[in-house]
Amino acid sequence: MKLFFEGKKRRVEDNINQAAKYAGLSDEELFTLAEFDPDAGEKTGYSNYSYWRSTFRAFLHNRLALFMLIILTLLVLFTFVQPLLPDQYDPLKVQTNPLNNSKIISARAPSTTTVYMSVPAGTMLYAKKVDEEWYGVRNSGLTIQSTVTTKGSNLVYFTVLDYGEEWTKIEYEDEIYYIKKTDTDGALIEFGFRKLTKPEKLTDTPYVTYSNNCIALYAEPEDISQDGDYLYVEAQYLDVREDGTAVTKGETELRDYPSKMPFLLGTNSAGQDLWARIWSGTRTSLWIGFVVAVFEVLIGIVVGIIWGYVRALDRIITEIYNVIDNIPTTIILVLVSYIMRPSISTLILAMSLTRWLGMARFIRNQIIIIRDRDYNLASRCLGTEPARIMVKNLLPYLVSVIMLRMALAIPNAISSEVFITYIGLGLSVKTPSLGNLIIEGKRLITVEGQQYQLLYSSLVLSVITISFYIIGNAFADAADPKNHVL
Amino acid sequence: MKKLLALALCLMLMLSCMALGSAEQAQTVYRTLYSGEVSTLNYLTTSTTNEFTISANVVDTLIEHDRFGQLVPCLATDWELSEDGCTWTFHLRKDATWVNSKGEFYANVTAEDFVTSAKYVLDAANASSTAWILTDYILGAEAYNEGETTDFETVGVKALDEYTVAYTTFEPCPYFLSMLDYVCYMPLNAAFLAEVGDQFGVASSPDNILYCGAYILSELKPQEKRVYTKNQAYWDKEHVYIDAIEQTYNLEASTLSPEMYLRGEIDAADISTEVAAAWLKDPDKAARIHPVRQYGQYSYFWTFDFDANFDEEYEPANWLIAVNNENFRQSFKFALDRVRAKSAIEPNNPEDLLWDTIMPEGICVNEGLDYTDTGALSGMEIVMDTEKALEYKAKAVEELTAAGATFPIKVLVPYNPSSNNWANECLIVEQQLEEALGSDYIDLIVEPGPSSGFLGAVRRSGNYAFLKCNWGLDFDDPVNLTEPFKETNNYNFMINATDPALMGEDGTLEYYKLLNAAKAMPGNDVNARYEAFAEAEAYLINHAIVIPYGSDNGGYTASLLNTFEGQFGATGLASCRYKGMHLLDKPMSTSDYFEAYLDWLDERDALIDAE
Amino acid sequence: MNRLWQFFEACGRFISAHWLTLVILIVILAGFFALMAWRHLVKYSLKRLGASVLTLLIIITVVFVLLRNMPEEGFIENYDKLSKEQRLQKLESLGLTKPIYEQFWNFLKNLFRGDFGKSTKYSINRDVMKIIAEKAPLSMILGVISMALSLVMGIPLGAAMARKKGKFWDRFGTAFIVFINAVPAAVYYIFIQLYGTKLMSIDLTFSRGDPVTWILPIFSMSLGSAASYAMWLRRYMLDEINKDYIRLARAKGVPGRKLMFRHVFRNAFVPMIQYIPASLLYTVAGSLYIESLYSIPGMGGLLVQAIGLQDNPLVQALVMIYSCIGIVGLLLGDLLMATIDPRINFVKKGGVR
Repeated sequence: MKLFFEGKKRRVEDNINQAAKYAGLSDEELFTLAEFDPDAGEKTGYSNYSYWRSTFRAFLHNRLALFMLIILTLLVLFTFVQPLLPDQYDPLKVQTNPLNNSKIISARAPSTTTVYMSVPAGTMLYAKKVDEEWYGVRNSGLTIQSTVTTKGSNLVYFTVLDYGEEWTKIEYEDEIYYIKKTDTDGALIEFGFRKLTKPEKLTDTPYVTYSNNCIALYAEPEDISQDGDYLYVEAQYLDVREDGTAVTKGETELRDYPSKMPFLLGTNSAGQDLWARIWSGTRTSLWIGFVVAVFEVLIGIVVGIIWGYVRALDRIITEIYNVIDNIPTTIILVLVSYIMRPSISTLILAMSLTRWLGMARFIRNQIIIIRDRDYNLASRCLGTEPARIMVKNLLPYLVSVIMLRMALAIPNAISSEVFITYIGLGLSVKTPSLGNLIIEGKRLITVEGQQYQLLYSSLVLSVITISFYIIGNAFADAADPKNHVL
Repeated sequence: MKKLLALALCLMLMLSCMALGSAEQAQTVYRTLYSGEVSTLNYLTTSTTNEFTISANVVDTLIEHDRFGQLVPCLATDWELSEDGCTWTFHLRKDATWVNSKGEFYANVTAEDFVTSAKYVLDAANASSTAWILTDYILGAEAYNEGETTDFETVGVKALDEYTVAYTTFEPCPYFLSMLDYVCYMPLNAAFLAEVGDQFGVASSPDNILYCGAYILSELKPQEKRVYTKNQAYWDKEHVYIDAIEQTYNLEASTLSPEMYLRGEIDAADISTEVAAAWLKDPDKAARIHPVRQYGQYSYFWTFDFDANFDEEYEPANWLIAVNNENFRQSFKFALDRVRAKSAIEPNNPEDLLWDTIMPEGICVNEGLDYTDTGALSGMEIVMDTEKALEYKAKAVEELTAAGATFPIKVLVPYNPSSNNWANECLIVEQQLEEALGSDYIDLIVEPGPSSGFLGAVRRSGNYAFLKCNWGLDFDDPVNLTEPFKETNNYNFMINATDPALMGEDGTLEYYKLLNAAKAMPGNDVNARYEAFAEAEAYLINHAIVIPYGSDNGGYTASLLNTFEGQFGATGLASCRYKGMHLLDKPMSTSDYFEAYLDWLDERDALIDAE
Repeated sequence: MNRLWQFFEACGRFISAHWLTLVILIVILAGFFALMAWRHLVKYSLKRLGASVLTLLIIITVVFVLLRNMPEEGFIENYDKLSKEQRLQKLESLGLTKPIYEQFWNFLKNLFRGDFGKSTKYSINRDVMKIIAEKAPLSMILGVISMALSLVMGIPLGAAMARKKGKFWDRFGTAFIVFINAVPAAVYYIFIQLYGTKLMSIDLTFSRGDPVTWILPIFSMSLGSAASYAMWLRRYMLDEINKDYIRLARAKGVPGRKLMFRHVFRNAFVPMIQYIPASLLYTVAGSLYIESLYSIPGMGGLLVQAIGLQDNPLVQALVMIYSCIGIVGLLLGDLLMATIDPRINFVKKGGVR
């Protein structure tokens, strides 16, 4: 405040000084006659000010918003580019383990699926020399603490002591038992196993059940190859003894056989590649959000302005609003999806039918606030057409709030898709969308180790929402002419 | 200050009273969450499992299933069948009483109550959804239901004296007894009905029904909570071991109940496959869950549609050519990897849920021989055999090309999007079949149907090509599972079939001849009857009209109950009742479950041997 | 707490039983106040309410027709096993077999007698009004408390953000708003529930008698609207601060605090006030997410469930109630706006006629 007054004082002083300088001069010395210039006469108040250019310039000054805009653009571009990238999975394809056709469910490991166990250095393996580089390994020679899922999937921990031709000697609760391997060939180990009773004679058939875990030896994706029943491990990872058995040199992991391409984000509980699903879902959701937002904004603004400005129509539009607003969207959704098959267009149609209402009401409230201000009154008195008043007098005043509202329309449409999915009327899992990915992930939120299924899809939604929010706010700020003076 | 002190003292006194009170009773309470509220307590009109689970525990039936699935006396102590095999006479126990929600005596359960109930079910104004069970079997019931007569004397339900009731069927019905353990045969007190009028069974207050079963609904707050308390006046109360059952409503029960179960806030929870997979990795949590017991209430199967009432874009004419070729259907049957498809629902042990026959095992047993091992069905096995499938494919391609079909054949496979795993199941089937048979041969098109009114829009209107269907068993007889395939069925519209391989010499479908022959079999020769039905069923499977699939209800569950102590039966109310079960000290683990299961099997075998 | 609850419950029961009377009473009261100060508004309000009766009729008709077109199968349980006659019996007992105009006429007649009919699927044979009366109070109480909480949190936050743009509160508020908007409500609600209950070591589910269990649902419910109040207030206040009259006032030396609250805040609050009456009335609808998670026996999701079950009378009644709320809410919002900002005028001639 003090500074302000000082500045004022200085300016007054300057004026006095200036006045003093010219005090002694006559009028002829002070003024000269201007030539008549017909062009200058045509000129009206000129300035090179352009509203939109200035808005844009002001917007560019907001670094964060610019950054988010770039992120958003890249994200949108990537959703289109992603399917064209090499080695992408089909979002609908249920991934199966090539060794036993079982689904690869809820796998998190980036390049393969679940790690079943770690094998300490020195673990014995049956190996077969194939050439100088590789050894074929039948992973059925382990002396390790093993986990076997029996029928009924109870976990039993036992130690494999010795593998015979047919019988496996194991230790369980300090007693020695024998179980029968039902498949000794290849990478599959299946245990005949239910009640751990030692057979009287080794030829007795024990209870036969199967484990679900397919175990294969795995070192690093690039250090392993497969041919038929054999896995080949690079020689440098193994010491091969004379009796044909091999010993691992370092810590080795036993995993499901790695797939050709890594599942970047793992698979979901149905065994589909989450990475592909998320991008396909983002594409769908952005499309839904975009179309619905366009309808919302277009219809909303037009109806809102007319509703707010044209008094004669106020009541009738209010009543139309009341009618449409009060017919539950759920009924429309149920009926539309009953009449048409549930699909993206059904969802867009049902959402577009009602979503513009909020926008229209919002604009109308804004218009009502400013329509009777004096400058509008003046404009009306001068006989400006209503349409011109609406577009030139009212709309520019609202650009900032409309911008914010528009920026939020897309993320809002997406989150209402989440809600629609929640109440069971959304897209089916056959059409991935952020809505069904999030609801599916939310279902697993209490399941330990499965939270990642929610994480990634929520993250994408969050990035979309945050960027729209920040861009919208920055644009709204920039759209205010008062902020154009930089 | 004094006031505060007094207040504090009062509070302490109250607390100690409460503590004392609870210490004295030491009740066994079984707490669960539920997400589906019942819309009525009226056991005579409902047919939804959720709703008759309540009735099953609070109202008794004439007879019930025991632990091994045998029919044993309940409200009736004994019964006899007339010479002509049509009239069943039941003698009621005299110590069964009706009580109200406070456990106060209302009346005795008498024969008249069964007549009242039948009258109520058959009254068209009540629009009972179980009326068909009476109208299809009981003498004169259909005419009464349709208003052709108003004289209930014409209906075959009679109270012979105060404690004797007789049911007359219009033809001998050897499996009639197995129908009685169901809601529409529960008694109803006429005086009470007159008293409450149209408020009977309204799910707003527990006072709207009377109780004669093991439990009383002592509290019923819709969308909030319901409490069952042991009925102290129950004739068989020494076999009711859990004192109270508390059920709290929660729409998110599927997400929250495992967590609440771990925190000890509830005593049972449904465990989804994902939760099961996670818990199995932790020995401590793994010990708290066990497999779901299989009762076999619903049979699932894949059918081919002979109606092809779908959009031109899916080429119905082409499909009709294909489906009427047996080799084409056989190629599906042999190529379909049912294990892989089933793993969409139960990834841990899909094989456990697969059946090789349409009728589940263990339901219809005659002299120790299961129906599914009888005659033509014995040794029936559905095995995936890609080589055979390709052979059939080669033949089919040749014949279909001659018949003018275009390849790939479009196969419309709809699913209900509101059913959790159905979409994925169809996707797996699509991938697997196209992989096995080649996408130049078939093109499966997986499409969602509407989530409300799905069956009407899809199955009943023939708007599909290849569909997973189901049938819920109503009573223990093979004839029940021929309903979906009868001439007027709305499952596969087989009546439209033109496949010469399915036709008899006279140009009518062979299956109907077999079916009618089986239906015409005398009821007293159970063995011959079963063989005749087995032949009909085997015909459907062997000619690849239907591909048996199995049960949909697998996976794991967490509970403090031992289900093997409870009643057993695929039909009726056996699987709903808490009677006979104890509250365990610790959760049942998988090994406990299998131990109990093996014991149960042993006991049952011993029982059969003793007979 | 129990006593308090009983009081609430009694209030709620009263409100739900006589909601129509109450709504009329509120309207009359509002009209009365308006009459005192703004005579012209009364005429306007009455006209609008008059027109609303017609609107209500249109809404009912449209919903009625839509509901009658729902799939037939949805009305009948055990559809597959019933004979054609039995299906017809069922439809008849639901009153669906008569010609639609006759059905509609009967419906209207009953409505005028104040009879909304009986639930046909949700809770069979129960008066729909009784179902609603039992559920509405709880939702309303929770809703009103959480709305108060969100106003208490959101308004000061928004004001603080606008006052010191770019400073701590602005950043904090932006982070909060961004978080709330970016994370789907279904997700952060369940997180709050799981970890909140663990932290407070209480049961996961809500219980009426235990005030501690009220905290989390109310808190969760208020977050979303608090964020939106803060966001919009900041926006409107920033727009207002840039206006010339504020500059003038500042130049004249009006103290910052006074300026903010007398001028900026008051003007910025006008566009928001429009939504307050409707939001207040809509609390009766409850929150589907929250009530599902915490086992709160309120109204949340009742409409969605009723539609899913095709319980026509219940849907009809709910639509009626929500429509009345919506219509009255919009009107009250307009009146309130006109009260706070005298420049707003609904009656004076102007604009396009």
